[in-house]
Amino acid sequence: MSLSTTSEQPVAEPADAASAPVATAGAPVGAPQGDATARGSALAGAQEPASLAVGPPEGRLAGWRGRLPGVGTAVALVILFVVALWAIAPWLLAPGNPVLGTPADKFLAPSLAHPFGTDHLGRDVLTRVVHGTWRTLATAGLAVGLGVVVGTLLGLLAGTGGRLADAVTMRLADVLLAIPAILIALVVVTAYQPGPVSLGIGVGLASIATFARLTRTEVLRVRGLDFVEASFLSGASRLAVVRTHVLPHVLGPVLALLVVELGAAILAISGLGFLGFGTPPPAPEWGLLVAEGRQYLAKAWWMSTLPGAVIVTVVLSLAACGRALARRGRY
Amino acid sequence: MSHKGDEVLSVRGLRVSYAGAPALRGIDLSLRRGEILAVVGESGSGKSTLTRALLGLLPASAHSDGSIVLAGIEVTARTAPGLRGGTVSLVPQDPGASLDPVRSIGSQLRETLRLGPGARRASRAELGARAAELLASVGIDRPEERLRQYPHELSGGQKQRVLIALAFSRHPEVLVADEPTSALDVTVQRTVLETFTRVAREQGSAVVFITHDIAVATDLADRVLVLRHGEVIETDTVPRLAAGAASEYTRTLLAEVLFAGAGVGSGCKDDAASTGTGHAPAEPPALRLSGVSKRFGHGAAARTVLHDVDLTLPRGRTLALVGESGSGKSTTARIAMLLSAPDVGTVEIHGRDVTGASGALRRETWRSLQLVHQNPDRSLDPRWSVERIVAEPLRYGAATGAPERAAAVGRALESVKLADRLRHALPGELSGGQRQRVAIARALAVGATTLVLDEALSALDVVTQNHVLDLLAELQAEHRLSYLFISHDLAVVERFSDATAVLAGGRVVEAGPTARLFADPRADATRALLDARPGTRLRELVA
Amino acid sequence: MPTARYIASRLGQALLVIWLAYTVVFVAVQLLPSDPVTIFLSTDGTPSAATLEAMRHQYGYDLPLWQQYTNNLLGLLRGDVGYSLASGQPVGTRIGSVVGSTLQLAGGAFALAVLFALALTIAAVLAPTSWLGRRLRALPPFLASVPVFWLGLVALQLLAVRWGVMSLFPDGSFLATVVPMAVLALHVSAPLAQVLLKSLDGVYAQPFIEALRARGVGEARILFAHALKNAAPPALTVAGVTIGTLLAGSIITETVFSRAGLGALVLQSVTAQDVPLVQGLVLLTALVFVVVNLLVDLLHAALDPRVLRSTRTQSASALAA
Repeated sequence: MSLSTTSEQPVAEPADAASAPVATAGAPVGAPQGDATARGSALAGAQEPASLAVGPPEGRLAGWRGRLPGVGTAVALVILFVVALWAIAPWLLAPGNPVLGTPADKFLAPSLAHPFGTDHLGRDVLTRVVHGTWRTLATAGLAVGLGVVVGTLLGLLAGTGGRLADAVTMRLADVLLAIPAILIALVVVTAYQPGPVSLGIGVGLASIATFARLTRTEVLRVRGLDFVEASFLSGASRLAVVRTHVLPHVLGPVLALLVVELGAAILAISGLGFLGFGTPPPAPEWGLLVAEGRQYLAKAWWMSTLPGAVIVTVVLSLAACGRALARRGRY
Repeated sequence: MSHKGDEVLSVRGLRVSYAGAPALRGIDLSLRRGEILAVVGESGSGKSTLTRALLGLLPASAHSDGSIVLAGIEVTARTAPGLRGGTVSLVPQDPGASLDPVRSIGSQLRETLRLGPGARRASRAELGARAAELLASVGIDRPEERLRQYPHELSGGQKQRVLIALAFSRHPEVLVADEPTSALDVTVQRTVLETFTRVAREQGSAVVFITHDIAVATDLADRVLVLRHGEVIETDTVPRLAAGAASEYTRTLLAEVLFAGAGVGSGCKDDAASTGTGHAPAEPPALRLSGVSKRFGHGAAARTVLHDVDLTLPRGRTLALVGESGSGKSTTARIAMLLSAPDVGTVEIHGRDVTGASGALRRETWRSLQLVHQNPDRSLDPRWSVERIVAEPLRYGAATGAPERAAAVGRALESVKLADRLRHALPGELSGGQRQRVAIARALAVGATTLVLDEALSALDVVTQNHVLDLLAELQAEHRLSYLFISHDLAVVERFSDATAVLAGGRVVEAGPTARLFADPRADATRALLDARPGTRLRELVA
Repeated sequence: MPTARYIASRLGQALLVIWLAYTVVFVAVQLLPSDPVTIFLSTDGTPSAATLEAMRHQYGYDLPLWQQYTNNLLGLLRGDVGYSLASGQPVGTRIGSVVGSTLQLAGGAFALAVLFALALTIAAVLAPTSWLGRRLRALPPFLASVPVFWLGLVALQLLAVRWGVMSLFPDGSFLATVVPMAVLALHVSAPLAQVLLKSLDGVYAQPFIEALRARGVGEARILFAHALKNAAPPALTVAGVTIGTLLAGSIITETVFSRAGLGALVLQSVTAQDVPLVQGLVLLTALVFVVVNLLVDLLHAALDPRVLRSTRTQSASALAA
């Protein structure tokens, strides 16, 4: 159905709960992991009052702007700030050499001098983690950038471009979702050469479907609201309606998903790096660091455990920020 | 029974607050066996909180004190689960969402019956038989068959009957009914309420009937309690209220029901404002639909929603369109607004045939023809300021600069009596009535002279409704506006519109001057609608 | 009648997605900088033109595109997915020889994941204190942020190195079988539990739950007889999508625990740039994904009576005007 006001649809279609799952034809792909994380407000429990006559009726709408980030979100923001600093200026926080080690210092357990210990060549593991940050983040950024740009455009096209455009884009999204992200990335890596760029493109291709689906869902939701119709009645063209009403409402959820997907891309990229398809050694990269540590599991637990813990912390922080954004950006 | 005397429910000094915001500020009420008490209040009055408190279902975030004694037992967190179902039960508000959609009607009835005394070991067949009896007692046809059906296979009225059966299944001493019929059509509402009161009288259950509609309340209750801002304004028997209410607020509510004849409308309900064919007036009508038919769907699934509809709205008048849901009101509104094209027939706006208009012609037409949606929460972009919302149609019109637009917004806000300081507010910061005024201001800012008001007042409470109606009447008198007024509320239609058309099954079954049509309904559908209007008892008592 | 129509339409859509997946993969191979044989042979030096030509002919890469497309498609219908460039064996045989171990890992992990997600969700909803409930609810987002390879390594570190209760390499022992399954299950259960919790929260906000409470129905019965059944469809849908995560996780888990299986085959085929083998693996996963999701759809219809009707009654909604 096109974004036309001469809609031939019956008026006041009942909100048929059952039609929703059926409408997602093909593989019934709802909200994949990222979306679920972005929207799942974990605490909206059964204990809370349904928004009936309780409290000031407009409180939910009016109060959203004044809300400060919670403690969890604040901690997450600080962590992400530090990690961003690692990526931009690694020498500031880790002045040592990430590639050349002191053989005499090999396999040192974590200490004040080497908070993450040293590896089999006597290199400081924390220095390698810090210097590897930008590679992992840049690859993840490339992946999510590709996903968000292409995915959002496809989702907008599907949501506003008419029945045929919708069917074609959504079937393609089904296909993308039917092939695990890691395999899509591996196909790209097979065809070209292992390395950060093909990895980023591969992981990004896989995330297109997620963004396309979310954007389409949001476009359809906003499009059904009366103020969009009112805008048409005000004389706005289809393009003006999309630009002034639909897009601003869609961007909030997309932004929240973007943050969460960045975490998912870091996971996927470090996983592929772990398998050996990322940056070739000796250059440091988070997944590769864990893979190197795997060979010395018995001798040096810190080599795999601590870089892995950094990945977990960063992804958790991104997820927390994504949830906070999702709570704020929605009406 | 262990409780003393005749009193089955006693509430003393009930206070409930959420995070410091009080919802109930000290409620006292008592209920005798078999008595029906109606609690009347608009949204925000605390009536939903009262419902929950009576059932011991207040959320954990609520802070409450005072006492509720049900059949001699104090309602506390510990006693409430044992009281629910057997001693106190609920007929919920929204029949569409109050039955488990994935369980059959029979399984839900059996589940509740099994909770009753001595039913634990009853066989499935026994319970099924009792369930069928229950359904029959609330007036559901073919009960055996219904037991196997799922909620989505029943109509709204049937679902509410099932919920009534569920609530009465364990013979509670007190039944709380929370707006049980507000989601239903008037004709359905009437029969469902008849069933409800009959079963309550048969079982001797006392009823707390919670409603926003004082007409419904006075029709069925022995006593009425008026709740406002969490306080009891007044409580009295229906005849005494009819004789004269103590509070101003109650009198306003009662006046709504009793109002008939000339009022806030433009007053002159002469025959020139009739609909259908007639001698051509000197001025072309603001809106005319001729022979409009509309079908949806294809092949065997196709349904004809409108059959040969003729409507004429003369300039400066109000034409009301009434009918049950499904009668074609909304489709007519969309065709009139050029949002949907008729299959057959023509649409004329101010004498110009604009049937099937699109593109520039349609946009041009919308400069004189505007729609006010039912729910202002959804018709205003929550991210936009009032100023930007009202100015939106101006941006697409003749080239005007920012200062002219700002001035036009100022004039539009003034005409709908909104303070100029609100121009930078977001819709979320306004009350429901203010939001609907913003929507009207937006329609007027472009210079529209014909407004389609699609249930535009139904999301507002009675007092706000009156203010908006007064405003609409003033604007009409001042600017000769024409209104196509779509409403399910016959009381409002009667005093606001010059002419009325009744839709039933997609046909205009009757149309004519409002006064004539209300005094002397000719079509069966009109009579059914008028007879089903709540407030009969109150009108009789006053007359 | 509606049942038959529903199944037919689901089946049709499943076939459509498989055909589209095949086509997308075929087009993707054409978009490669050169043909698969050249890519494969380029990994070890510069091959002679004659070798290239001979191999291209042998594998049919010299045929016109449309003929390649239809030949491969017809082959696919017969269950023939081409030949591996590296070993010359049929792709089907290569996959068939290792798929059993992976299916065991993935199947076991999936079953564990569903059990774990259900147990966690029920515990969170019925938690006696809101503090405990909140802690339990924080678990799935945490698990979703943990890379499966790290989880596996930490498990090995603790169980094999620190406590010495299992071997670093698969030795057929009980723990060597169960620990990889459990690691993968924890990873896969995160999205399931998240969606199930969110979906349950949505169900608990619906009026019928309060209506049930008002009729005296107990909390446990509300959860097990009503809320879970209503909340299941979205979780099922996500369970279907999780198959992708499960397969990807299997590859990594197998590597971490040095298990034989599809994971090793995938790594070999990618390292050797063996395009037909990769192509076969992609089609296999797409097939598994589509079949699982077809089952999910059918299960959904069995759980929710409205699903079958909605296809039929959509047009009837035109009445509501």
